[in-house]
Amino acid sequence: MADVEAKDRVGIGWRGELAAGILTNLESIDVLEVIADDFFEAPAKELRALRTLSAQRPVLLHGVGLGMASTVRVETKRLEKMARVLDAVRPESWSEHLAFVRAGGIEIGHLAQPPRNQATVDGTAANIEQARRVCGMAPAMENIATLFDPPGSSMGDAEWLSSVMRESGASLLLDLHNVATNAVNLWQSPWRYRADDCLAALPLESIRFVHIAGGRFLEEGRILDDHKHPVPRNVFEMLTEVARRADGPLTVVLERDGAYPAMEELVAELDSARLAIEKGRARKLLG
Amino acid sequence: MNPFDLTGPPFLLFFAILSLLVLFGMWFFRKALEGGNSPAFDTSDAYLIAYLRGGVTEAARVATVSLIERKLLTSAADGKVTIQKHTKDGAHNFFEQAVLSYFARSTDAVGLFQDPGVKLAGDGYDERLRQLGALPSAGQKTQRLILFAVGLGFLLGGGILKIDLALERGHSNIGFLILFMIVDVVAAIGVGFPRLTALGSAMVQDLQSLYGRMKPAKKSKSHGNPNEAVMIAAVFGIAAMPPLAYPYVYQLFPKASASSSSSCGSTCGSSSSSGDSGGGSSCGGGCGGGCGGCGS
Repeated sequence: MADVEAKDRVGIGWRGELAAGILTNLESIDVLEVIADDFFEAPAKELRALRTLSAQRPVLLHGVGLGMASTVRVETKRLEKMARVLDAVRPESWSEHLAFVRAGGIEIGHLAQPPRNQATVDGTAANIEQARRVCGMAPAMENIATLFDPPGSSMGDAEWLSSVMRESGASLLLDLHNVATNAVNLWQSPWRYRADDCLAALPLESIRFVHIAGGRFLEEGRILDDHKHPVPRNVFEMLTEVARRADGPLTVVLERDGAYPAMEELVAELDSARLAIEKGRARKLLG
Repeated sequence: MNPFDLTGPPFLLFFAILSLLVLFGMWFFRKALEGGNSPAFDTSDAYLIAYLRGGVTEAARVATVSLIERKLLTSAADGKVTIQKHTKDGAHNFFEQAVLSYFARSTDAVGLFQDPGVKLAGDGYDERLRQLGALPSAGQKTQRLILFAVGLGFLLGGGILKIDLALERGHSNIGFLILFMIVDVVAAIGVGFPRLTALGSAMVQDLQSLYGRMKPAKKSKSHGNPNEAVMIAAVFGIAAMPPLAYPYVYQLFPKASASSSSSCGSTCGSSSSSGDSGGGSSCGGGCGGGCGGCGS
């Protein structure tokens, strides 16, 4: 796999609907993130198209359906499909969600947060090790959003994430909007937190990968992380804080999954992300 | 058993199989010699992509559509094209300048393809694509000639040998074999000398695969964005432009717009996006295998 370039990079999630916008604005895009699951059953010619895409800009692969955060073992056949895509595209890294998606043969059709306790920490670490064995490299693991506090939790978000990272040795793909979303959605939970406190409790020095996105408020005051809205200002402020503390280069990916605006708006969000990183780096220099 | 001792339909069957094997061998070796990984190239240049797909004619068609969409050209109901503004600022590059220069002199869209100025401007793309390996280099042309000569040697050599044997044995029913040999020569030219290299063909297919989900419905403008429509025309041909949204395209270039220039490379099916179905978040809207759940 290729080495990560030693500079901060800002990119966008590849979506077929944005193909023209992305391919005609590559000068504003440093990196592309492709949903790997979309290519699990893809014929060779579609994987070849991904390689052509990766010749234009570095491609990162992002999984959505492995269901790594669980006491249930991740299915080897799914990991083998991931390995096939990884082998075809040879990205510099890949990532998955810290999500619970199935058990007992039942798909819940959604990325859910598992109960945050020691059992799921152990199960997740075992699944990450299994992924490392089958795929040849461990995925960066992404924190996810939740609308409610998973029953049976005995840890807060930051503690659970830190425990998983520590036990598995995997790196964290930090989704800032998910941190901000959970800070709102868990306000009634015993594990409620402020987004700033969550960031403070995470090992941001070692962060390399960041997601930014936007969601919307639901009537009951919770946030739905639907990736269909502009990135809110507080997420850019959090990105500045991450850049202030991160020791290595950051790769930041903007996620947009619907209600696609003109590409100019997305490019403007990428520019805002660059600005936020620059601010953080400047603050780091100033101490 | 010597297959050249066969006569009539059995020999023709043998010769047909031999022909297919030789043609496949020519295709296979040419593909192996001209293939490789796609290089980085300017994916924002619609005319480069159109030229890659269909040469200067396609690039000129797409440029005309782009200039009409940007109101530098106007298309009348009678199919005539008139220039609205001819300034250096209006044209984005040398190719558009050449197209605008042509329409400053003529209103006939079809004559555009024969214009020396447009052809000369197209040479720039030709050279760039040759450097990328999408069009055959001098060395690759020589390889093609050698492959063609070897393949043809097998095909014609086998046919001539059989004709010689047949005549020697007093048979004169060699008409079908001669017909087969003529078909073989035509097929060998097609297999041996396509316009694009194997790499160039793969680049076109890859672009069509990447743009697969953008190919618009036959009635609406693509996301309302003319630039996207121009890119889709570049990648798939102007036949991919919705006729209800771009009726002038079908008046200007009836031949090209009537034929579907290519099939959509992508077999993308349903989106894996879960939108806001409940909880946490949504996943990327790609195609194919679904995601167990959504998040990120």
